[in-house]
Amino acid sequence: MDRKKTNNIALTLIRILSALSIVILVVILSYLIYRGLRYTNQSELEVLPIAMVNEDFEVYTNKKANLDKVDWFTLQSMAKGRVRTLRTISSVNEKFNLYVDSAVRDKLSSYLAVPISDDDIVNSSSDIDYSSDKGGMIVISPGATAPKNYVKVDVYDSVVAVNEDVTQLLNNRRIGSLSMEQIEKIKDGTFKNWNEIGGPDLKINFINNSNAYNIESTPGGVSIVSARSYNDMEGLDTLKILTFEKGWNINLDYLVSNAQESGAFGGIGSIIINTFLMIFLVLLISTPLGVAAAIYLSQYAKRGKATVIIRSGIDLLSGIPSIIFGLFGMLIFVQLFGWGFSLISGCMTLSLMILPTIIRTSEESINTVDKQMIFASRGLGATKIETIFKIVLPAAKKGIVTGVILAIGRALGETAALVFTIGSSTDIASSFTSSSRVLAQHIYLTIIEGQSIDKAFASALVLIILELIINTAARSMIRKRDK
Amino acid sequence: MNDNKLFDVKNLSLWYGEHKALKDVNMEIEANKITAFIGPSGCGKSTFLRVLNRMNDLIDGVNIEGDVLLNGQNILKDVDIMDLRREVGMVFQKANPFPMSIYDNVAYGPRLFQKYKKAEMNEIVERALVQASLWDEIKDRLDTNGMALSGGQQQRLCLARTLATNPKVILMDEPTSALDPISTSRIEELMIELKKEYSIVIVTHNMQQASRISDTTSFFLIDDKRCGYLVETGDTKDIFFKPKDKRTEDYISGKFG
Repeated sequence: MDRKKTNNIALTLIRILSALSIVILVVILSYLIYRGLRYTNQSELEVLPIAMVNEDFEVYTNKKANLDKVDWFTLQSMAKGRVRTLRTISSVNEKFNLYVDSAVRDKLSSYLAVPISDDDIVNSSSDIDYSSDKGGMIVISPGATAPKNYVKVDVYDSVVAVNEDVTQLLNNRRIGSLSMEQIEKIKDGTFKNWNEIGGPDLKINFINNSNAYNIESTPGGVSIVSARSYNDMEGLDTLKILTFEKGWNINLDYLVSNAQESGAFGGIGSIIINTFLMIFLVLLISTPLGVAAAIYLSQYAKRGKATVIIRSGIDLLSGIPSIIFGLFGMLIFVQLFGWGFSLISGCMTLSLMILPTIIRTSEESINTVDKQMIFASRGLGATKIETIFKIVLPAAKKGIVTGVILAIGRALGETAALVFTIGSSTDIASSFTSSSRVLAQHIYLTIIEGQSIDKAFASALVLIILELIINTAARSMIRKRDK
Repeated sequence: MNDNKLFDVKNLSLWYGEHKALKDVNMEIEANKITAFIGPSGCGKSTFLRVLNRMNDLIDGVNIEGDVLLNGQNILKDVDIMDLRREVGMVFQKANPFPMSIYDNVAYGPRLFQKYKKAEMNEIVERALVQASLWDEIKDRLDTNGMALSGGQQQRLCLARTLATNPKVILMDEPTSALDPISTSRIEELMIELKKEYSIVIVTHNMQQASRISDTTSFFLIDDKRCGYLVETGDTKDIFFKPKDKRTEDYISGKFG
């Protein structure tokens, strides 16, 4: 083939491949940043997000409760006394008190179809001080009162009720939820059959609210009814409502507050501090060891079988998967030394893990120091160790620092070596032997135990930024060294 | 017998591992003179120069036999190497200033041996730089990095660095081979100036240089086993104009080498 043509084809191919890899990297990075910054909660609500129309009473709360809506079923559970913490309702890890104004007791009782406990009754809800900081409070009172600092809470109390035959399992498919758009289209008749939206082959029978009691006897029947009526009816199913909620993932509060429930709630303040503690300790342990070993290998060790074995041993160690260092750390530091799952066990394990990298980069850097300079120093009467400290190490300093920073970057992103060694406490480590957790491992534990993907992505973004800072520092060092 | 005798080398042989690199060198080097070592590449003249301040100790597997007396003391046996190197300084083929300021470069040697007051040290640095005829060029920028100087200035800085420790002997291993002719002639003038106070031993490839500046010349050759040996030593004029040995005459007239 024509050489020019071959050249052009190769060039095009290279361009396509490089563009592809750049696109992949950009997509990954922007996705990580997007997920770290924003959360999109897809949740299935029991009720339609439509506020109740009820003039008998209003629901208020204080700011601390961080609540602006509540569904009928939750309100019922509150009245029954089954729910007494805000955690599942508004992600605030606080208990709350329920106050029901005696004037609305009967109306509330009939609305929720449960009796109201005497403990929750207050005589005059207008006296309540909503600025009180003791905890959450939920107040149900006649709407006419205008308390200070209150937050009004919407009550959602409409459900989508369907005949049982709509939700039956068919060919491994089953309709469980609808989006608001789909509900609108059912209402206006765009959808005619349930199989258009993932259900059985059954005609959609939208029933007006007033005839809701007919759902049970209408095949494919669907209606929007109040939760109270649904509660009274038998033999009905509901379809859940798919909603999407968006918001900011990372804010100052997240960066400074402590983690709760293994990372599912709260922030990562203590974990960032632990991470810096870990970096500091690992630096303190691994740098002197690594640099001393590098000095020995490059300046003192005779060239022979022993050094060849040592060098290949170091290379082998730097390639060993970190989980194996984790196992080693668990056996030696956690069990044999009796340090338990602790900061020091984790840091020792990490130091051992990055030691080979530090030794090799430092040795390389020391070896690039001009031999002539060493001769000059020795020729002036300096001893070997004087030459090492006054000439060799200063000349190799930037290379050594760069290697150490890159190794620290690796330690920062390490999870496997820490799983068996450092513990998992979300508190700030108070001593060397206290259990603690660091960022990368926190991401792992957030998924495994806390089960919050959004929080994991937020932590991931913080970790990426830290790594970025460290890598930039290393790169600028390299650039300075090359000048 | 010469009263002016500085080095007295007797039956010196040197091995790099198994390889014999120098055999049976006998030589006297006189004080306050410039002694030049000439000879073809690989003849062991640089190796021999390094024997004189034991820089060969830095190379693995070097073995030396024989005696080297410096003012009657055997430097191969009972001598403190650090003190020896202070007395017998060395300037290398390639200018090798330390990556530090000009001042610190010069002060490096003296600082190794004792603590000086600021004023004393300033004096030492100035004297060394003046002797190396570098002072006028750089007196306003003593804190700039030694690596930033030109090649010729760097080599004079290295010379000043050696002079600062106040040696008796200065060994020079082809000090001008990497320099331009102008820098070379400055260094040569400097050497002639310095021999009043110091003894200088220089290894050179440049025959004109040897004949221009040296008082005594030693001619080294290499045998078929790649082992170097000394052919003859004599006054430079004699070596260049009426050599006793046929091999010297052939080398100097350019028949080989």
